[in-house]
Formats: sequence, structure tokens, C-alpha cells
Amino acid sequence: MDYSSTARARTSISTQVYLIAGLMLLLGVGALWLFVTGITDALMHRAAGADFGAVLLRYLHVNGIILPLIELGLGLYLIRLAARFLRRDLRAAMWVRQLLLWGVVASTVFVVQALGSALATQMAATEAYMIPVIGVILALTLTYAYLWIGSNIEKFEGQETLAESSARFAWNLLVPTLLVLVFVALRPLEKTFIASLTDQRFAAGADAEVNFVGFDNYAKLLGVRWDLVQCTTDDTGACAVDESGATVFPRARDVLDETYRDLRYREISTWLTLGGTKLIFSARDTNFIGSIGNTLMFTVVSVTIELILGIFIAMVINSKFPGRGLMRAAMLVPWAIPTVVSAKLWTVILRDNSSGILNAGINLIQRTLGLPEESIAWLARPETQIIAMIAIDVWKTTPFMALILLAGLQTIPADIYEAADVDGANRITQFLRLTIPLLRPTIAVALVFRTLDAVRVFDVFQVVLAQKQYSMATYNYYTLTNSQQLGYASAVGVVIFVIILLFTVAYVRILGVSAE
Amino acid sequence: MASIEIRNLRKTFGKVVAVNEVSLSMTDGEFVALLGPSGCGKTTTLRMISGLEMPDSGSIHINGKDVTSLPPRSRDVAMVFQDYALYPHMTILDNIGYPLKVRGAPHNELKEQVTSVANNLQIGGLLARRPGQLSGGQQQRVAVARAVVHHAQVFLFDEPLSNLDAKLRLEARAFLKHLQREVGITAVYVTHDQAEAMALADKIVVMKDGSIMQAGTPLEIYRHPVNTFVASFIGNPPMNLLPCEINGGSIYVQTGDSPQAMSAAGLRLPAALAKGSQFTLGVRPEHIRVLTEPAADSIKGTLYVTQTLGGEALVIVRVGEQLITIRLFEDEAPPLPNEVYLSFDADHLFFFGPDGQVLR
Ligand SMILES: Nc1ncnc2c1ncn2[C@@H]1O[C@H](COP(=O)(O)OP(=O)(O)O)[C@@H](O)[C@H]1O
Ligand SMILES: [Mg+2]
Repeated sequence: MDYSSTARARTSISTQVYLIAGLMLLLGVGALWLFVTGITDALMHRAAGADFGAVLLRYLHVNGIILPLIELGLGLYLIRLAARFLRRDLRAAMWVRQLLLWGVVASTVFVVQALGSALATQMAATEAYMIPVIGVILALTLTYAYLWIGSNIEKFEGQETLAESSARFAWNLLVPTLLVLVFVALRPLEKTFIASLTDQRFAAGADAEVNFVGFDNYAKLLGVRWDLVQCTTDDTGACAVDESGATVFPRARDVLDETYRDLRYREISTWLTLGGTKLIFSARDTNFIGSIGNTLMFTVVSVTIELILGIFIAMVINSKFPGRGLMRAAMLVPWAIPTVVSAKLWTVILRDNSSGILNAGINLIQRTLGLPEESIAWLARPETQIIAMIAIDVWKTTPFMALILLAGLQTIPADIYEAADVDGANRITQFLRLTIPLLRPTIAVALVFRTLDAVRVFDVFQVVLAQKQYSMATYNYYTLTNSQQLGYASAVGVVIFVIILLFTVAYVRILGVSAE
Repeated sequence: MASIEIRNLRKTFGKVVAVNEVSLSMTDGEFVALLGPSGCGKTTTLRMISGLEMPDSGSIHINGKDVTSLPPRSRDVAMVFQDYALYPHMTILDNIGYPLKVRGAPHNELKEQVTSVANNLQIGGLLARRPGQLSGGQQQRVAVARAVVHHAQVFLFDEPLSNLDAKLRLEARAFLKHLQREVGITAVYVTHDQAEAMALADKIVVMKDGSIMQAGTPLEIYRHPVNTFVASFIGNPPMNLLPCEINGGSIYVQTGDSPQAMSAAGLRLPAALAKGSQFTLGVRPEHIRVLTEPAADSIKGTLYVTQTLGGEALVIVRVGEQLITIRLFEDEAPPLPNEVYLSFDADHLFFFGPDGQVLR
């Protein structure tokens, strides 16, 4: 009697174990199936005669890049987990339980959403409510399985260490964030990347043809070359000289190989002239290469100046003096003004004749010194345009930099300066050996913030310079809106992303942002 | 090595008078302890000597030179801070070596000196770590090492051993005392621990509420405390202080509702003690005998508790409202009845007037 009841108990337990393992297996196989059908679908199209680019593009449009990877990984993981669960492994059981919980949450969300759309569509009641009902059944099943494992956990073998259960807990907290990251950050990024592989046009009709062009957009964007050009010779074989005495060079496109012309390279600048030879730098998209140069110049110079000024201001404000509170508030005013407004303000200041405030000031000084009055066309001359951008940015963002650095300064204990005083270090040594190293983590954070902001600069360039000179972001904007080249603009976006990524990685490596 | 002359030093923080008219002179190679309860102005005095704090008035001379308005780095002093003030981003090696590095010592010489000092303070194995990875006691020894690694003219120690456990404290104390004997350092040593002051100092300065109560050698202060404050601060356990009245040939001990008479015969009473006046009788725990039978010069009490300390024992007796501590130099307190009689050693009594000052 006894024996048979335990036997029954054991069989019933086994049943549930098999059912749950089966569920996991089903989910795993389902994920793999999604992965495989994506590929077979593409292969079938290829077999049907579509060309490789079209097939690839179709696959990417339907599946993307990340989702197949997730499907593959999740599928394999679930199948392995099901196997371990069948072997009554406690650790596997804990993880299954965890997944079931997430499943319950997911299906509940799904039910709510489906109910909402059912109410909205006003379909025939039975049909519309089928989906929510399936969801409810799923949620209840998963809940039952979750509870069952919870109350039968002692039937499983092995032990979960504290570290393992902490890791599981950590995943628990991470999963929502990871999901959000995938759908909010990675998916759009991936879509942009996929678009950058096509010749898609902006705001074209839905039936417009989209072709896969591989990395052509990037080749055009980033195509640069350096060439040596020989001078034009006169009859004697010596270099020809013009009226002003400068050596005469032919146009690059006339003397260089055909690809230079065919790929529409154009000269950006001369790097070096040695006698009758000069080294020229050319690019296929001179505007974009120029915008990279502008942006990097803008970023490096403005962030450096802001950092130095910021440290100085932060140290002044950190010392005690009457009116410190007022100073702190006043300091933030430039930062509080919207960039578009301050950019407009600066266009008034920098206007190219004496109606501009800066030129008016310069003229006044020139008058009092008895010099001839000369205005500088700050925003019309290419050399001063970027300088003006830097000045505006420094004016606007130094307060922000100072504020971050001030917060860092205030974390440095005051007593170590006293110790250094007693130890015999002077103020400069103290600044270099105590303040700077202790401020380093703050400087790193401030630099990351500011650099990433500066690399993406859009508003100042757009308001003040429009299409006179581009930053990477304004160039991106104009390729999209003016030239309507969605594919090409996407490639610009991806390149900007990669540049920002490089900056971030460099900062993390060099300054150890995450290390301390 | 230097002599220090401090005259009428005064420092206030708002309404708080932290240091009040402190004058002190130290000869070359002297080790002076500033002793007093927390908040009595010891740290402030030390910070003024180092130059970290500007006095409101008064002057400080080092080696005859007026340094009152000089910044710390021009005074050639070394200091151990009460809260260590280690450089958090530097290794222990760099922390200790910093005063040498600032003075441009070559690296191998610096390392040699740091290692030697660190070994003496038993932190030689920690040189590669950072302050955040050390215990409080270890950090404190690093602070001491940083101060002594460079041979400054004047050493200022602000409770440098307060966070060490008993054994380490004794060893560190011995190291500092040894250092003073070897190098002859001039040091001002702030502590609230009278035993430490007694053990280390050539001269003890007892402070209270910003003022100096008494200055002298440890024995002078122990033997001739000028007031009840000094008397109760020096010696462990502290001196017993009993309110008394003298009348005729008897002293009435007024520790409870009913005064107890005690024969005054055989006592060398100070001249200032007038008949019928109130005074405070001071007697150290080691100068009291516990009797089981009454005597002419004894007072009655009830046994409160006995404590065995190993090598000595404490007997605490309640007389009226007050607890009196007796120290016996025996391994274990003898069995005592509940009712005991206390007899004071006539040669070691202190008499303080109603204002707390000693009567002579
Ligand atoms: N920076 C300060 N600001 C205000 N009051 C202070 C300051 N430093 C010390 N004090 C006050 O001065 C008195 C003496 O302090 P301190 O010298 O640190 O005492 P000690 O070191 O003997 O414990 C205390 O009452 C303390 O509150
Ligand atoms: Mg103190």
C-alpha cells in the first residue's frame, strides 16, 4: 500500500518534470525554427533566381541582425536547459523557474495589449477575444509551472551557491534594461545600418525600388587619396611660373589616372609643395571629409579650452569668498539659455560690419589708436567660422564643465592639503599631485559628456553657418533633407556613431572611466 | 631639532575660545605632551604651532625666530593629523615618502628610508597598498611614518596612537621614545591618555577649556597636582576626591547624609586650612588601606565590587553616596566582609580648597 502511493507520487512528479522540460524544449525548438525559417526563406528566394543583394536585403528587412542571433542563442540555451532540467539539476530548475516568471510577465503584458487592441478594433467579439484568451491560458500554465517548481524544489539535486543565486538575481534586474536596450537602441541602430547598405531615397513612394549597394555608400563617403602632382613645364622643361611668381600646377583631374575622374575625386587641400612637386589630398565627398575635420577641430579645441577654464573657474568658486553663491548662480546663465537663442545672439555679436557688436568694439579701439577702421567678417571667412563656433560653444558650456568639476573638487578632503602644506609642498605641486589626480575620475566623466556632445554638434552650426560649413550632424541633416538620400544619410549616421564609439573606447581605456 | 617659545597664544572660533593665553617654552630635544580632555584646545594649539591655523594674538618662535605669520612649509615641522590626512590616491610608499619627494630626494634613498621607518612601525608589508585598503590603526601608523621619515625641526603628533590596539600602542610608543633618544627630536605630543603622556613626555602640559592648568615633569604633576582637575586627570585609576570639613581634631568626610569623623592627629595639615572650613581631600587609590576592624583614623564603607587585573586588584567601596577606589598590589583581591574600614596613608594626602586649588 505504502509502496504504491510513493510510486504514484514519484510518477506524478515525473509527469510534471517532463511537461515543464517539454515546454522549455518546445520554446527552444520554436526559437530555432524561427531562426531556420528566416534562412530557408532567403535560400528559396535565391533559388528562385533573385540576385544576392536583393535576397540579403530582404532577409535583413524581415529579420534584422540582432533578432536571429537572439533566436539562435535562446534556442540553444533553452534546449540545453531542458536537458539539464530532466536530469533534475537544481540549478537548471532555478533558472527554469526564473524563465517561467519572465514568461508570466511577458504573457500578461501580451494579454493586456491584445485586449486593448481587441477593444479598439471592434471586431466580431469571438474572434477578437481569441488571442487574449490564449494569452490568459498561457499565463496560467506558466504560473502553475512556476509555483510547482517552487514547492517541489527539494526533488531536485545539487546545490546553488550564493554567488550563483546572486548572478541569477542580477540577471533578473538586468533583463528589463536589456530588452529596452535592444528595442530602443540596437534595433534603430541596426535599421540605420541596413538602410546605409541601400540606395533608398527619403520620402519616396512606398513602391519605389530599393537596391542593395553593399558598402558603396561608405566607399563614397570615406574615399580619400593622396597624390603627387608634377608642375606644368614650359618649353625649356622647367616649371612654369605665373605672374605672381608661383609655380603653375595642372588640375589634378586632368593629369591623374581615370579613376580619379570617374569616382569624382576632388582636391581638398595641398599638403606639401616641394619644388616642382606637390602632395594633394582629395576626397570623393569633400563636404563630408571637411565636416569631419570641422567637427574634430571644433571638438578638440572647444573641449580643451572648456576643461582648462572649467578647472580654473571651479577652483575659484570652490574657495571661500563673499558673494560665492551669487557667482555660482550667475555662472550658470549662459548654460541656461537655449543654444538656438544664444547662437542667434552670437550672430548679432559677430556680424561682419560695424553693426556687429564685436566689430563695433574693434573699430572703436582702432579709432582711438588712430588706426584705419577695418571690420572682420567673422562668419563669412572660412578660417574664422570654426573659431566663432568654438567661441560660442566655450561661452555656453564652460559653466557646465565648471559645475561638474566643482562637484568633483568638493569630494576631495580638505585635510590632505593641510598635510601637503606641512610636508612642504607648494601650491603648484599640490595642484599637480593632489588636485589633478584626485579630480581625474571627474575630469573623465566631464570629458566624456562634453566630447560626445561636441562630436554630435548640430544646433550652433545649423543656426549660425547653415550650409556655409558643415559639422558632421548638419551634413547628415542636409544629405537627408536636401538631397533626399536616405541610404547615404544613414551611412553618415553610422560613421558618426563609429567615431563617437572610438572616442568613448579611447576615454575608457586612457582615463579608466569605469576602473575606479 | 629646535627650541620652541610660545607666548600668550589665543584663538577663538566665533564665540568659542578654543585656546586662551597659552604660553609654553620647550628646549631643544624636549618631548612635551599636551594632555587634556576632548575639546580643551589641544589640536588647535598644535595647528597654530604648525602654521595651519593663525592665532588671534600671541606669538610662536622656533629657534628664536618669529614664525607666527609663516606658512607651514616654511616652518620645517612634521605633523601627524588626528584623522591621518593620508593621500588617498597614492600608495603607502608614496604617502610616507612624500615629504622626502617634495624635497627632491632621489628615489632609491627615499625608498630605503621609507622601508626602514615602515618596518619599525610594522607596516613594511603594506607599502604597495593604498590608504583605503588599510585598517584605521594601519593608516595611523602610516601617518606617523610620514611624519618621522623626514627629520623636521619640530614634530607635532595629534593623538597618533589613539586607534591602535594595546600591544601595538606599546610598541609604537617605544619606537617614538627610542626615536627621540636616538635623534633627539623636539616634539609636541597631543593626547588625552595620561598613561601615554607619562610614558613618553619629558614635560606634561595639562589643559582644560583652552587654558593651561599645570606644566611640569610627569613626576611633578603626579606628586604635586595644583588643582582637583589635574589631580583627577593624572593617575589611573584617578585620585579619589572626598568633600570634607575640618573641625577640632577631626575631619568630617561628607560623602553622605551623615558625616563620618576621622582623627586628624598625625596628619600634616596645610597651613592654609583654617578651622571649620570646607575642603576636598584627595587620596590616590594606592594610598588607601582596607581594614576589617574600625580604627581612629578610618571611615566606614560597604564593599561595592572587587576587580582582579592581574598583578594588581581594585577594591571599590561605597562610602555614603560616593565610590572610592582602592588599588592593591596583589594578584587577587583578598576575601572581604561586606562592611569594611578605610584608612588613608597620612603621607600621601592632598588638600584642595573650595575653589579646587591645592592648599599648601
Ligand atoms: N574649525 C573650528 N571651528 C569652530 N570651532 C572649532 C574649530 N576647531 C575647534 N573648534 C572648537 O575649539 C575647541 C577646541 O577644539 P580642539 O582644539 O579640536 O580640541 P581637542 O583637540 O583638545 O579635542 C572645541 O570646543 C571645538 O569645538
Ligand atoms: Mg583633537
